[in-house]
Amino acid sequence: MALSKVDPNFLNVSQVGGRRNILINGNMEVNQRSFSSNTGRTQFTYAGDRWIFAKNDVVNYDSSYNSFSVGQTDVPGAKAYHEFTLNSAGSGTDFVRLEQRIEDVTTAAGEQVTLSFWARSNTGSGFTLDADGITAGPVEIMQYFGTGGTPSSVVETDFATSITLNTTWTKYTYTATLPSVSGKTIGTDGNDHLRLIIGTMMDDDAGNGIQIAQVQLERGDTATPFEHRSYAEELSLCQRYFNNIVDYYGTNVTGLFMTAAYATDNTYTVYQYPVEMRAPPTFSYGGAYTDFKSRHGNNVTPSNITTHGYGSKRQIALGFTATATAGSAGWMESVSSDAYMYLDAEF
Amino acid sequence: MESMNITNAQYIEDMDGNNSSIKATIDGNSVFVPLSEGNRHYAEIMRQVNEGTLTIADAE
Repeated sequence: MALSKVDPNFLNVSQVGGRRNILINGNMEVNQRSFSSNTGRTQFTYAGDRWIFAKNDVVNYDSSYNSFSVGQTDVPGAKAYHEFTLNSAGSGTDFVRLEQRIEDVTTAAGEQVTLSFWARSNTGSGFTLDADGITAGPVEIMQYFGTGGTPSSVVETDFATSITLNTTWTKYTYTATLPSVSGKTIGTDGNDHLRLIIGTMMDDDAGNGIQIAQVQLERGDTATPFEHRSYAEELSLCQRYFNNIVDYYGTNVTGLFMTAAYATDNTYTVYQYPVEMRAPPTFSYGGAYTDFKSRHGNNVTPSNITTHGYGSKRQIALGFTATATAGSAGWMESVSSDAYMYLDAEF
Repeated sequence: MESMNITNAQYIEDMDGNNSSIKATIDGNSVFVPLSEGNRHYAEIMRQVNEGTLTIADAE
Protein backbone atom coordinates (compact mmCIF):
# COMPACT_ATOMS: atom_id res chain seq x y z
CA MET A 1 0.00 0.00 0.00
CA ALA A 2 1.35 3.42 -0.88
CA LEU A 3 2.23 5.60 2.10
CA SER A 4 -0.20 8.21 0.83
CA LYS A 5 -2.98 5.76 1.65
CA VAL A 6 -2.05 5.43 5.33
CA ASP A 7 -4.86 6.78 7.46
CA PRO A 8 -3.29 8.85 10.26
CA ASN A 9 -6.12 7.78 12.56
CA PHE A 10 -4.55 4.33 12.64
CA LEU A 11 -1.17 5.66 13.73
CA ASN A 12 -2.36 5.71 17.34
CA VAL A 13 -2.58 1.94 17.62
CA SER A 14 1.03 0.93 17.21
CA GLN A 15 4.46 1.88 18.43
CA VAL A 16 5.31 3.49 15.12
CA GLY A 17 2.67 6.07 15.91
CA GLY A 18 4.24 7.00 19.25
CA ARG A 19 6.11 10.16 20.18
CA ARG A 20 3.86 12.34 18.07
CA ASN A 21 3.10 14.93 20.75
CA ILE A 22 5.99 17.38 21.01
CA LEU A 23 4.49 18.74 24.23
CA ILE A 24 5.04 17.19 27.65
CA ASN A 25 2.07 16.68 29.98
CA GLY A 26 -0.34 17.57 27.19
CA ASN A 27 -3.06 15.74 29.11
CA MET A 28 -2.18 17.85 32.19
CA GLU A 29 -2.30 14.95 34.66
CA VAL A 30 1.13 15.57 36.25
CA ASN A 31 1.00 18.26 38.94
CA GLN A 32 4.08 17.94 41.16
CA ARG A 33 3.58 21.40 42.67
CA SER A 34 0.07 20.36 43.78
CA PHE A 35 -1.10 23.64 42.27
CA SER A 36 -4.82 24.20 42.78
CA SER A 37 -5.72 27.86 42.35
CA ASN A 38 -4.92 31.45 43.07
CA THR A 39 -6.81 34.71 42.79
CA GLY A 40 -5.70 38.22 42.02
CA ARG A 41 -2.35 36.98 40.74
CA THR A 42 0.01 39.55 39.19
CA GLN A 43 3.06 37.32 38.62
CA PHE A 44 3.77 34.26 36.50
CA THR A 45 2.20 31.03 37.78
CA TYR A 46 3.93 27.69 37.25
CA ALA A 47 0.91 25.40 37.43
CA GLY A 48 0.51 21.77 36.33
CA ASP A 49 3.90 20.49 35.18
CA ARG A 50 5.31 22.29 32.12
CA TRP A 51 2.35 24.71 31.95
CA ILE A 52 2.80 28.38 32.75
CA PHE A 53 0.31 31.19 33.16
CA ALA A 54 2.55 33.88 31.67
CA LYS A 55 1.89 37.59 31.74
CA ASN A 56 3.35 40.85 30.57
CA ASP A 57 3.55 43.97 32.75
CA VAL A 58 0.34 44.95 34.54
CA VAL A 59 -2.28 42.21 34.79
CA ASN A 60 -4.48 40.74 37.48
CA TYR A 61 -5.87 37.27 36.91
CA ASP A 62 -7.26 34.17 38.59
CA SER A 63 -6.01 30.73 37.64
CA SER A 64 -6.71 27.15 38.61
CA TYR A 65 -5.92 23.52 37.91
CA ASN A 66 -8.95 21.24 37.90
CA SER A 67 -9.59 17.53 37.54
CA PHE A 68 -12.31 16.21 35.27
CA SER A 69 -14.89 13.98 36.90
CA VAL A 70 -14.30 10.27 36.44
CA GLY A 71 -15.95 8.96 33.33
CA GLN A 72 -16.64 12.35 31.79
CA THR A 73 -17.14 12.30 28.04
CA ASP A 74 -16.90 16.00 27.17
CA VAL A 75 -13.17 15.66 26.45
CA PRO A 76 -12.54 11.94 25.94
CA GLY A 77 -9.61 10.65 27.96
CA ALA A 78 -8.79 14.01 29.53
CA LYS A 79 -7.77 13.98 33.21
CA ALA A 80 -7.42 17.68 34.04
CA TYR A 81 -7.58 21.17 32.63
CA HIS A 82 -6.13 24.62 33.27
CA GLU A 83 -8.32 27.66 33.64
CA PHE A 84 -7.64 31.37 33.87
CA THR A 85 -9.76 34.51 34.04
CA LEU A 86 -8.47 37.99 33.32
CA ASN A 87 -9.61 40.43 35.98
CA SER A 88 -7.84 43.48 34.57
CA ALA A 89 -4.88 44.48 32.43
CA GLY A 90 -3.08 47.65 31.54
CA SER A 91 -3.43 49.01 28.04
CA GLY A 92 -1.01 48.31 25.21
CA THR A 93 0.83 44.99 25.35
CA ASP A 94 -0.16 43.79 28.81
CA PHE A 95 -1.56 40.28 28.68
CA VAL A 96 -1.99 36.89 30.36
CA ARG A 97 -1.97 33.52 28.58
CA LEU A 98 -1.18 29.83 28.92
CA GLU A 99 2.23 28.72 27.65
CA GLN A 100 4.40 25.65 27.33
CA ARG A 101 8.08 26.19 26.57
CA ILE A 102 9.59 23.43 24.44
CA GLU A 103 13.31 22.84 24.79
CA ASP A 104 15.42 23.63 21.69
CA VAL A 105 14.36 26.41 19.32
CA THR A 106 15.33 24.29 16.29
CA THR A 107 12.47 21.85 17.01
CA ALA A 108 10.38 21.42 13.85
CA ALA A 109 11.97 24.49 12.24
CA GLY A 110 10.99 24.77 8.58
CA GLU A 111 8.26 22.17 9.05
CA GLN A 112 4.50 22.18 9.19
CA VAL A 113 3.14 21.62 12.68
CA THR A 114 -0.42 20.97 13.79
CA LEU A 115 -1.87 22.06 17.11
CA SER A 116 -5.01 20.58 18.61
CA PHE A 117 -6.63 21.30 21.96
CA TRP A 118 -9.99 21.49 23.71
CA ALA A 119 -11.27 24.71 25.22
CA ARG A 120 -14.37 26.56 26.34
CA SER A 121 -15.46 29.82 27.92
CA ASN A 122 -15.98 29.76 31.69
CA THR A 123 -18.21 32.85 31.80
CA GLY A 124 -21.52 31.33 30.77
CA SER A 125 -21.39 32.99 27.36
CA GLY A 126 -19.11 32.77 24.36
CA PHE A 127 -16.54 35.37 23.36
CA THR A 128 -13.85 35.98 20.76
CA LEU A 129 -10.18 36.70 21.32
CA ASP A 130 -8.21 38.55 18.65
CA ALA A 131 -4.69 39.86 18.18
CA ASP A 132 -5.45 43.31 19.62
CA GLY A 133 -2.35 45.44 20.05
CA ILE A 134 0.37 42.81 19.79
CA THR A 135 2.07 41.34 16.78
CA ALA A 136 0.57 37.88 16.90
CA GLY A 137 -2.77 36.19 17.42
CA PRO A 138 -4.23 34.62 20.56
CA VAL A 139 -2.96 31.17 19.49
CA GLU A 140 0.61 31.23 18.26
CA ILE A 141 4.07 29.73 18.52
CA MET A 142 7.22 31.72 19.21
CA GLN A 143 10.79 30.80 18.30
CA TYR A 144 12.88 32.18 21.18
CA PHE A 145 16.62 32.14 20.52
CA GLY A 146 17.64 32.64 24.13
CA THR A 147 20.05 34.93 25.90
CA GLY A 148 23.81 35.26 26.06
CA GLY A 149 25.94 36.53 23.22
CA THR A 150 23.95 38.08 20.39
CA PRO A 151 20.99 35.79 19.76
CA SER A 152 18.50 36.44 16.98
CA SER A 153 15.21 38.16 17.80
CA VAL A 154 12.09 36.13 18.46
CA VAL A 155 9.98 34.98 15.52
CA GLU A 156 6.23 34.65 16.06
CA THR A 157 3.95 32.51 13.90
CA ASP A 158 0.18 32.61 14.20
CA PHE A 159 -1.91 29.50 14.49
CA ALA A 160 -4.98 31.74 14.58
CA THR A 161 -5.53 35.49 14.41
CA SER A 162 -8.75 35.07 16.38
CA ILE A 163 -10.53 32.34 18.29
CA THR A 164 -14.14 32.12 19.39
CA LEU A 165 -14.74 30.28 22.64
CA ASN A 166 -18.06 28.49 23.20
CA THR A 167 -19.65 27.53 26.48
CA THR A 168 -19.27 23.84 25.64
CA TRP A 169 -15.99 21.98 25.26
CA THR A 170 -14.86 22.31 21.64
CA LYS A 171 -11.85 20.86 19.87
CA TYR A 172 -9.73 23.38 17.97
CA THR A 173 -7.21 22.40 15.30
CA TYR A 174 -4.71 24.63 13.51
CA THR A 175 -1.76 24.05 11.16
CA ALA A 176 1.13 26.44 10.59
CA THR A 177 4.60 26.34 9.08
CA LEU A 178 7.45 27.19 11.41
CA PRO A 179 10.09 29.38 9.76
CA SER A 180 13.51 27.92 9.09
CA VAL A 181 16.22 28.83 11.59
CA SER A 182 18.93 28.83 8.93
CA GLY A 183 21.16 31.84 9.49
CA LYS A 184 19.81 32.46 12.98
CA THR A 185 22.03 32.75 16.05
CA ILE A 186 21.19 30.85 19.25
CA GLY A 187 22.16 32.43 22.56
CA THR A 188 24.92 30.93 24.66
CA ASP A 189 22.95 30.57 27.92
CA GLY A 190 21.21 27.33 26.95
CA ASN A 191 17.66 28.65 27.36
CA ASP A 192 16.43 28.79 23.73
CA HIS A 193 13.03 27.23 23.16
CA LEU A 194 9.78 27.11 21.26
CA ARG A 195 6.96 28.81 23.11
CA LEU A 196 3.45 27.52 22.52
CA ILE A 197 0.92 30.22 23.41
CA ILE A 198 -2.82 29.69 23.88
CA GLY A 199 -5.51 32.21 24.80
CA THR A 200 -3.75 35.55 24.97
CA MET A 201 -6.12 37.94 26.78
CA MET A 202 -5.60 41.69 26.90
CA ASP A 203 -7.30 44.69 28.49
CA ASP A 204 -10.48 44.53 26.39
CA ASP A 205 -10.88 40.85 27.36
CA ALA A 206 -11.23 41.60 31.08
CA GLY A 207 -13.90 39.45 32.67
CA ASN A 208 -13.39 36.61 30.22
CA GLY A 209 -12.05 33.22 31.23
CA ILE A 210 -10.86 30.11 29.42
CA GLN A 211 -10.62 26.42 30.26
CA ILE A 212 -8.04 24.45 28.23
CA ALA A 213 -7.46 20.68 28.10
CA GLN A 214 -5.65 17.92 26.20
CA VAL A 215 -3.19 19.85 24.04
CA GLN A 216 -1.15 18.22 21.28
CA LEU A 217 1.47 19.74 19.00
CA GLU A 218 2.79 17.47 16.27
CA ARG A 219 4.74 17.53 13.06
CA GLY A 220 2.75 17.47 9.83
CA ASP A 221 -0.50 18.94 8.57
CA THR A 222 -2.89 16.50 10.22
CA ALA A 223 -4.25 16.41 13.76
CA THR A 224 -4.01 12.77 14.80
CA PRO A 225 -5.83 11.35 17.84
CA PHE A 226 -4.40 12.49 21.17
CA GLU A 227 -1.35 10.46 22.13
CA HIS A 228 -1.85 8.96 25.59
CA ARG A 229 1.34 8.16 27.48
CA SER A 230 1.49 6.41 30.84
CA TYR A 231 1.64 8.56 33.99
CA ALA A 232 5.07 7.16 34.83
CA GLU A 233 6.43 8.09 31.42
CA GLU A 234 4.92 11.57 31.53
CA LEU A 235 6.21 12.17 35.06
CA SER A 236 9.71 11.19 34.01
CA LEU A 237 9.58 13.63 31.10
CA CYS A 238 8.38 16.38 33.45
CA GLN A 239 11.18 15.73 35.95
CA ARG A 240 13.74 17.07 33.49
CA TYR A 241 12.24 20.48 34.33
CA PHE A 242 10.85 20.15 37.85
CA ASN A 243 11.10 17.65 40.69
CA ASN A 244 9.53 17.57 44.15
CA ILE A 245 11.81 15.41 46.29
CA VAL A 246 9.18 15.01 49.01
CA ASP A 247 6.25 12.65 48.62
CA TYR A 248 4.58 12.55 52.04
CA TYR A 249 2.15 9.82 52.99
CA GLY A 250 -0.47 10.25 55.69
CA THR A 251 0.61 10.43 59.29
CA ASN A 252 3.78 8.38 58.85
CA VAL A 253 7.20 9.84 58.40
CA THR A 254 8.68 9.59 54.92
CA GLY A 255 12.39 9.02 54.50
CA LEU A 256 13.97 11.34 51.95
CA PHE A 257 17.65 10.43 51.74
CA MET A 258 20.64 9.22 53.73
CA THR A 259 22.81 11.82 55.44
CA ALA A 260 26.29 11.84 56.95
CA ALA A 261 27.38 14.02 59.84
CA TYR A 262 30.34 16.18 58.85
CA ALA A 263 30.48 17.73 62.31
CA THR A 264 28.48 17.66 65.52
CA ASP A 265 25.94 20.12 64.18
CA ASN A 266 26.02 19.59 60.40
CA THR A 267 24.75 16.75 58.24
CA TYR A 268 24.97 16.47 54.45
CA THR A 269 23.60 14.50 51.56
CA VAL A 270 24.09 14.36 47.82
CA TYR A 271 20.72 13.86 46.15
CA GLN A 272 20.72 12.21 42.71
CA TYR A 273 17.93 13.44 40.44
CA PRO A 274 15.59 10.85 38.87
CA VAL A 275 16.60 12.12 35.42
CA GLU A 276 19.17 14.60 34.18
CA MET A 277 17.65 18.07 34.43
CA ARG A 278 17.62 20.69 31.69
CA ALA A 279 19.91 22.98 33.68
CA PRO A 280 21.26 23.13 37.22
CA PRO A 281 18.03 23.70 39.18
CA THR A 282 16.95 26.24 41.75
CA PHE A 283 16.37 24.59 45.15
CA SER A 284 13.65 25.63 47.57
CA TYR A 285 11.90 24.02 50.51
CA GLY A 286 8.90 24.48 52.77
CA GLY A 287 6.80 24.85 54.78
CA ALA A 288 8.85 25.03 58.05
CA TYR A 289 11.90 23.40 59.59
CA THR A 290 9.51 21.48 61.88
CA ASP A 291 8.16 19.68 58.80
CA PHE A 292 11.50 17.84 58.59
CA LYS A 293 13.44 15.65 61.03
CA SER A 294 17.06 14.58 61.13
CA ARG A 295 17.74 11.15 62.60
CA HIS A 296 21.30 10.41 63.68
CA GLY A 297 20.57 8.31 66.73
CA ASN A 298 18.22 11.13 67.68
CA ASN A 299 15.19 12.94 66.31
CA VAL A 300 16.04 16.57 65.67
CA THR A 301 14.37 19.43 63.85
CA PRO A 302 16.95 21.11 61.59
CA SER A 303 17.56 24.78 62.22
CA ASN A 304 18.81 25.48 58.72
CA ILE A 305 18.71 23.89 55.24
CA THR A 306 21.01 25.02 52.47
CA THR A 307 22.72 23.97 49.25
CA HIS A 308 26.41 23.19 49.07
CA GLY A 309 28.79 23.45 46.17
CA TYR A 310 28.05 24.25 42.55
CA GLY A 311 24.85 23.34 40.78
CA SER A 312 24.67 20.31 38.56
CA LYS A 313 22.20 18.80 36.09
CA ARG A 314 22.50 15.42 37.84
CA GLN A 315 22.77 15.91 41.59
CA ILE A 316 22.75 18.47 44.36
CA ALA A 317 24.50 18.65 47.71
CA LEU A 318 22.31 19.70 50.62
CA GLY A 319 23.32 20.58 54.16
CA PHE A 320 21.30 20.59 57.37
CA THR A 321 22.08 22.22 60.67
CA ALA A 322 21.13 19.55 63.19
CA THR A 323 22.90 17.92 66.11
CA ALA A 324 24.57 14.62 65.34
CA THR A 325 27.64 12.62 66.24
CA ALA A 326 30.41 13.56 63.83
CA GLY A 327 31.02 10.76 61.35
CA SER A 328 27.68 9.09 61.96
CA ALA A 329 25.19 8.06 59.28
CA GLY A 330 21.49 8.81 59.42
CA TRP A 331 18.70 10.13 57.30
CA MET A 332 16.40 13.08 56.71
CA GLU A 333 12.64 12.62 56.73
CA SER A 334 9.53 14.66 56.16
CA VAL A 335 6.88 14.60 58.88
CA SER A 336 4.15 16.82 57.46
CA SER A 337 2.03 17.22 54.37
CA ASP A 338 3.30 20.81 54.25
CA ALA A 339 6.84 19.64 53.54
CA TYR A 340 8.30 20.06 50.08
CA MET A 341 11.71 20.30 48.43
CA TYR A 342 11.57 21.66 44.89
CA LEU A 343 14.17 21.45 42.16
CA ASP A 344 13.21 23.86 39.38
CA ALA A 345 14.90 23.94 35.97
CA GLU A 346 11.96 25.37 34.02
CA PHE A 347 12.43 28.06 31.41
CA MET B 1 11.45 36.61 30.09
CA GLU B 2 9.72 36.79 33.42
CA SER B 3 10.25 39.88 35.53
CA MET B 4 10.78 38.75 39.11
CA ASN B 5 10.72 40.57 42.43
CA ILE B 6 14.13 39.67 43.87
CA THR B 7 15.39 40.71 47.32
CA ASN B 8 17.92 39.57 49.93
CA ALA B 9 20.34 38.16 47.37
CA GLN B 10 23.50 36.83 48.98
CA TYR B 11 26.29 34.53 47.82
CA ILE B 12 26.81 31.17 49.54
CA GLU B 13 30.33 29.80 49.76
CA ASP B 14 31.40 26.21 49.34
CA MET B 15 33.68 24.54 51.89
CA ASP B 16 36.71 26.01 50.15
CA GLY B 17 35.41 29.57 50.48
CA ASN B 18 34.37 30.05 46.84
CA ASN B 19 31.02 31.54 45.83
CA SER B 20 28.95 28.54 44.70
CA SER B 21 25.29 29.68 44.72
CA ILE B 22 23.01 32.58 45.62
CA LYS B 23 20.35 32.60 48.32
CA ALA B 24 17.57 35.04 47.51
CA THR B 25 13.91 35.79 48.00
CA ILE B 26 12.12 35.63 44.65
CA ASP B 27 8.46 36.61 44.48
CA GLY B 28 8.23 35.96 48.20
CA ASN B 29 9.88 32.53 48.16
CA SER B 30 13.29 31.74 49.64
CA VAL B 31 15.35 29.93 47.00
CA PHE B 32 18.90 28.74 46.35
CA VAL B 33 20.06 29.58 42.84
CA PRO B 34 23.01 27.90 41.10
CA LEU B 35 25.53 30.04 39.23
CA SER B 36 24.37 28.77 35.85
CA GLU B 37 23.28 30.91 32.90
CA GLY B 38 20.76 28.26 31.83
CA ASN B 39 18.87 28.68 35.12
CA ARG B 40 16.11 31.29 34.69
CA HIS B 41 16.46 32.64 38.22
CA TYR B 42 20.21 33.18 37.85
CA ALA B 43 19.69 34.82 34.45
CA GLU B 44 17.17 37.23 35.96
CA ILE B 45 19.38 37.96 38.99
CA MET B 46 22.28 38.87 36.72
CA ARG B 47 20.02 40.94 34.45
CA GLN B 48 18.92 42.99 37.44
CA VAL B 49 22.50 43.25 38.73
CA ASN B 50 23.67 44.52 35.33
CA GLU B 51 20.83 47.04 35.29
CA GLY B 52 21.93 48.25 38.70
CA THR B 53 18.65 47.40 40.42
CA LEU B 54 19.97 44.49 42.49
CA THR B 55 23.10 43.89 44.53
CA ILE B 56 24.31 40.50 45.68
CA ALA B 57 25.73 40.62 49.20
CA ASP B 58 28.97 38.84 50.01
CA ALA B 59 28.79 35.49 51.73
CA GLU B 60 28.77 35.55 55.51
